[in-house]
Amino acid sequence: MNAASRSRSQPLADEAEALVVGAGPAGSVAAAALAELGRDVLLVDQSEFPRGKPCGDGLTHSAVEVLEELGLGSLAEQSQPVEDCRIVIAHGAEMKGWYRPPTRLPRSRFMRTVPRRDLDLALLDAALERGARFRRARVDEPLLEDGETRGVLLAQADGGGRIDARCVIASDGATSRMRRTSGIGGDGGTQVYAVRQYFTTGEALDPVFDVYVPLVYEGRLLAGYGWVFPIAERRANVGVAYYSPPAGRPRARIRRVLASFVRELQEREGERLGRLAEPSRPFGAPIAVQFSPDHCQLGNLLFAGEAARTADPLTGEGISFAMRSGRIAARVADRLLRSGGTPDLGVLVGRDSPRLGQDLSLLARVAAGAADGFQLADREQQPFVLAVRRVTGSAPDAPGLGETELRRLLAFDEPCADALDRVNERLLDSLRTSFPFGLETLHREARARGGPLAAACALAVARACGSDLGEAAIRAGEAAELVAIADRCLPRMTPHVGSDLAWLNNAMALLLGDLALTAALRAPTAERARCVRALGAAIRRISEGQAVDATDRYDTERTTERCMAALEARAGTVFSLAARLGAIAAGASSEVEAFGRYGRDLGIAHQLSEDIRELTLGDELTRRRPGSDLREGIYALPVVHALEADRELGEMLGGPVPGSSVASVLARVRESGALEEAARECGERVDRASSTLADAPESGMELLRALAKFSQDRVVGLGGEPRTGVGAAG
Amino acid sequence: MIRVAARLVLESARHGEGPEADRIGDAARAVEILGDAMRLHAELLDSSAARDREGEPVPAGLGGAWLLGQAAETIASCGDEAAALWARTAHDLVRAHMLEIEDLYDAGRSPARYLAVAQMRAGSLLALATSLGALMARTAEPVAAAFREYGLQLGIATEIATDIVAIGGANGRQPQARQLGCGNYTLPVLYALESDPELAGSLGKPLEPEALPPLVERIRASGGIERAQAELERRVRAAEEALGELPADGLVAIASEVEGAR
Repeated sequence: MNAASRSRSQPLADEAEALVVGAGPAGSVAAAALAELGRDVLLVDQSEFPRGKPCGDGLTHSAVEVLEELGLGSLAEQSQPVEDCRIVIAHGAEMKGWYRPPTRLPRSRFMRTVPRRDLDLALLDAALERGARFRRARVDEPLLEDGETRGVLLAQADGGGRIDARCVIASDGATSRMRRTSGIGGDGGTQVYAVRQYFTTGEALDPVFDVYVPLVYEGRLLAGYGWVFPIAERRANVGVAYYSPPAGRPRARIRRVLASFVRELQEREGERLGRLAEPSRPFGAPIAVQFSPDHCQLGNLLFAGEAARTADPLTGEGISFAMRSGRIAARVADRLLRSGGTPDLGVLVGRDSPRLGQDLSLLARVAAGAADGFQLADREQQPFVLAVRRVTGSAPDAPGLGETELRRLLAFDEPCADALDRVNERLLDSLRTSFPFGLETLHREARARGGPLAAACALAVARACGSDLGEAAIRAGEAAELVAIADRCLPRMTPHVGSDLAWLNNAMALLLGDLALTAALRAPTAERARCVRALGAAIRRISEGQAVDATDRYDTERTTERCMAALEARAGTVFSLAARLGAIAAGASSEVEAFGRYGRDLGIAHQLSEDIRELTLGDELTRRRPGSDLREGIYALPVVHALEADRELGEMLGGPVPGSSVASVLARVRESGALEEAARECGERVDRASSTLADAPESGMELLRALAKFSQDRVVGLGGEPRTGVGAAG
Repeated sequence: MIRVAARLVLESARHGEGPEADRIGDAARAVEILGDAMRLHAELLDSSAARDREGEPVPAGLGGAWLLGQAAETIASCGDEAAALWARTAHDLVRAHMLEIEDLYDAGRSPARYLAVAQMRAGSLLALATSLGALMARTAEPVAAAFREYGLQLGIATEIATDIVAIGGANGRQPQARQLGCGNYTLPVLYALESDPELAGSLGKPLEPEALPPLVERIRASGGIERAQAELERRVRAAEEALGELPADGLVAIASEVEGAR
């Protein structure tokens, strides 16, 4: 029995334990989840199903995951696959080139295309199969009594009436009437619009999502993009989406923008696509991107999907976010019904995706103000565009630590692993701003290098000192990790535009570094003055280390001593601070300095392992290629060793290294034995860290040893044979 | 206006039960250094070095962080409460700067958005100064609350005063108006946009130095500077009113300095 026939067969319901308004992806997923939890849930929508929708068709891997969890994996499997993304740089009739943004997804998991008509019907059926009820009705507004939402009032045009409920989830889309009438607010900011049209194509389409930038209309640059992707072998979804132009700039009519884009596309790529024919009616809609954790909940009235403004501010994708937020809203509703408390839906949704709520309106303004219409890489425009280029095409980051090596390593110690997850949540909360890409960038930094090792160090030391890993230890871990993040932000400031180091760009590096540092200073809750003093001293010392590194750039005469001094001042200080904060949080006194020494050696060992990895693997998460530091004149210890062993290498360095020479330089570094030498020093530092712990209580040793081993294990097989003293030292 | 934040700490500490000179001096230094650290980074962001391929932004960036660390160490000697208050304010200052950057090139920026940034930045910093003075001197809560409000309003006034000078000039000097070229539209500009909406057509994009003088003239002609000056004076009055009948002549004198900064 499908949804439409079910809806007709059910009597009109006028009350439910939980009411869900809107049977799109967010609403149906929420209803399904609530029904699974055993709740009496009623789903209402103004439409008969099946029905189409303007936005959608494309399902990201994240959306497919939710479908699979609902037992709807076959819907995705039987659909048109899209295996890759291509950024096409084109303007008018001229094709300037294209590139594939890096993705960590296998081709089979990249994207599927399912028409909204089929998707929404399948999701509604899934909700009904789990016991949810459905009623077709137009909802007018929330029913408020004594400050509580008691249900909804139905539209007078349909005869009026009310539906009573103890909890209401509003998932009625980007133009949410429930949102407007509830007075929840928070809808300011720039608007985003999208429009799409279907065409048959003369040629078979590649299974690729083509993103076209820049989007230019009548000589003006719009902050957005055009797209083409297949929904069948010879049927394409073609569309445009963009931020509305800022004040003082002329508006562009979206259907005309689409028509212009299609004309240019046909002219430019007629050979590849064939003739675009049989156009469907253009279908347009606003996209709600103004997510704010503070505007998702009014007591027992919850908002999900685009009613909570959860579309991706960069890509405009909304279905995966809608389904995930619907699932979270169901959990919150269940808790509300169970306990009557007020868990914060906005915070939970915000933690689920670092990308939501970032305000890209500055990008729209920069685009509109660009001097010649489309050369974005100009001087003043550079900072933000560079960041966009780095993020474009990548899936939003996973918010948790589950995928990191460190979290997997710590799984054996459940309390510590849980505490690390809580630190991660605190980081997501404390660093959330609407600054473009701020949280996403900082959160990526926290997970790079295997995971938040500074936080883990603070927690492990706190545990060794007898802490139950409560709030004080969590805050210590948070502060430590924030300083580690800041240490990596500021050196990203570089005068060289387009370098891998400048992925943050200068303005962002400076501001995000400051944000992380001041958040760290604010974090401790126990012995604040003592912690602030330790943090202040560490920040100063780290700055001095960074100054040494900055001064020594491109210096092929850099000595091992200078290099070690900077290493100790930066990584050594970060981890020494982490250990000390952990000890202070646990109420330790005499042991603080000993743990500080453990942290220092652990930090140096970790940095050495990272230096070896940088020269051999690069970093996938932050998209840095092997040898990025070396190309930019940052000569870490392995390179200094190599320069000492191979004097001719100095002639290849001392200035920017062209891309064509990087491989040969890296080969010479490897051949010099420098990686083995660095690995040996890494092992020595791990041994020293372990020996520092000789007098510590045995109860915390396993964790501290695991952390020491972590750094060393990360360089196994990358050059040189690391010493095996780690296990023995334990 | 030299070292206003430090002077406010010292003046606010005159009204307590038993000021401890060393700790008050530390508090004054910590607030002043914090202000310096943030100004250094703000100037870096406003300068071309932070935005294009020229210059060497790294040392200046490190200098700001170094000062932040120095200030943190200094405030630690003032106790847990002072350290917590100082750290919270430091974080607010950064967030204010981020909000300001988000508004760049926005000719539709509202005066309310500008004032929110001014309150979170200079307002927070001077409110920190007066609060720390009161805290160090163990001043009674009603007086401390009055000082806090005074600092907040005076801080907003100082930010407006700085922005008026940037557009209107001071002491016979020509205005720099550098912020205008970088897309940072301050209160005089926003008021000018209200009375001359077509001005928006000339903004919203980077401007070369030679394009600035005619725009500055237009802003002056629109009455934007006078309206900003009126808002400044309103904030100074609010600061003075917050003090009520308290015998705080030193604070009143500093407020007068801010008002007469042009």
